Amino acid sequence: MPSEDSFTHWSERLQSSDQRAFSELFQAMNTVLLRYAWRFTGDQEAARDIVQDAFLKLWQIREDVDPSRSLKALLYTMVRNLALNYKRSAQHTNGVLPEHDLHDHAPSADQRVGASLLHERLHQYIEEMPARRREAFMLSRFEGLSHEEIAAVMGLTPRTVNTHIVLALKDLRKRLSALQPDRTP
Amino acid sequence: MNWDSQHNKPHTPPLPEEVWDALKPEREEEREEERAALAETWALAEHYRDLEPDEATFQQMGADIWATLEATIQEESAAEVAPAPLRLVKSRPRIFQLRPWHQVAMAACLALLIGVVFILSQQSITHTAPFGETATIDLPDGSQVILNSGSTLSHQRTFGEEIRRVTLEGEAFFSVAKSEIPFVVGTFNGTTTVVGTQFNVRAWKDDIEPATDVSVLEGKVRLAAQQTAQHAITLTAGESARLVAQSITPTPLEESVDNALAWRTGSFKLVKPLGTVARELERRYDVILEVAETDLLNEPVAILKESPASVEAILSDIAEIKNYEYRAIPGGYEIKRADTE
Repeated sequence: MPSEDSFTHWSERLQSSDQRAFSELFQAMNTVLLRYAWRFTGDQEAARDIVQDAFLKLWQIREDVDPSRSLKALLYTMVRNLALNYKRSAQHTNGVLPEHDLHDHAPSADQRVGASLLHERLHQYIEEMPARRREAFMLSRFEGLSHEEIAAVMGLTPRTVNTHIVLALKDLRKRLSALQPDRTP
Repeated sequence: MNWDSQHNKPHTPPLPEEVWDALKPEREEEREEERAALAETWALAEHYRDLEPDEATFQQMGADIWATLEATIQEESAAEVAPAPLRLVKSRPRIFQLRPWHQVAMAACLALLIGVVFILSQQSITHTAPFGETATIDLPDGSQVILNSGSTLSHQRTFGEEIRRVTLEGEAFFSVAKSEIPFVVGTFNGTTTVVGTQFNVRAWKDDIEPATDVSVLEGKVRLAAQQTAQHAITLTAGESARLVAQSITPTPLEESVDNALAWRTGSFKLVKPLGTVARELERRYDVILEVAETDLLNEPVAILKESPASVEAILSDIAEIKNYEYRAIPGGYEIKRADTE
């Protein structure tokens, strides 16, 4: 993940419509954000559209980007809002909670072998967390966002973010330790 | 057993240091045990990624996106008016012949001046009301803004010179000083324009039903959608309207102007889905509120607390009316359906 300084530098250059800065930012962040959008929606097509729309939107609003605020948090916020919209509309058209799609990926036989018991359990435990606890934990664990960045993305205080993450970890630990026989001590 | 999968994995972030601050075991050894256990859990969570598409898939997706983006940007810059070609002008005799170093110095001064003016005009000022508090902001034009908990208001340093424009994320009550210059409040999906008046704007993007709600106490206010200028409405004292996505709808009757303004005096009056009420309580009282069953998030809830009330008093009201239960959890509360047994 690029440093905070690089993000500040990019937003300053974006303000003056620097296409090279936009390209650098895209190269640095596209895979990370695609993973994030994929985890959010469980759908590759949707993830692609969401990340494309987010960068397009960023280019449209480039002159209003405030370099004193985190560009990384802004990108995550844009992807998150688009993903939430997607889930809302998917919910309306299918009448199914798209979260459940995550389980319906129909992985290939090869993947099934690799898809450990641990993966399945983790999936279940994380999905069963209260929504906001899960989101704070995921942003910290899988996106590597700082507490301040998560706070900006989710509209919380960093203190509350920490509480969510600690609760999530303790909860996971309790449930995973019930699997103890499966793990090396 | 070997849990490692073969494909190229993204970088694993370290366990954030802040987590340790929340651990308060009695003895030092317990602390060490707890640390080890949580660190192990953090590491094990990596297996959540086991079924992720591999790096090559994401790289291909990224390449596709970039092709589209690049085409769009090129199109846009081609559409912009091409700059007029430079014309060669015959040099005219100069009245003052500047020595070369004078020219350099003047150019430098001018560049510095332009730079300073540019930087000053670009800088924006951001005000935030922390969770659990409200904030009163006096703007340079004499207008006053009261920010509700967790809300952010920002404006350019040049506010008031040519335009009075602020951007709001959240909820605020505005007392706008009269002036020829229109006062504009930008929210995520629209703009509210006034000349001099008192009104409330509520615009939380992640409410269950995201909307910009405008309620007018005094004077006249114009609310317009961000993208379609046809969708606009003028409101006068005692009126309110709601902007959902890009269309304007009347505010439901039960959400009166009086209710919309209640937060300023510490009252809590909200007729909204439980998910929205929970977020509001989180901001107003700086606590965590977890709704155990997701289908409850859309349940309508009406709370009409006339005077400042504790979060527990509000939760107990909700629990009683809706037949829910709530319990304290670290840092906040959990709401769930009451057991019927």
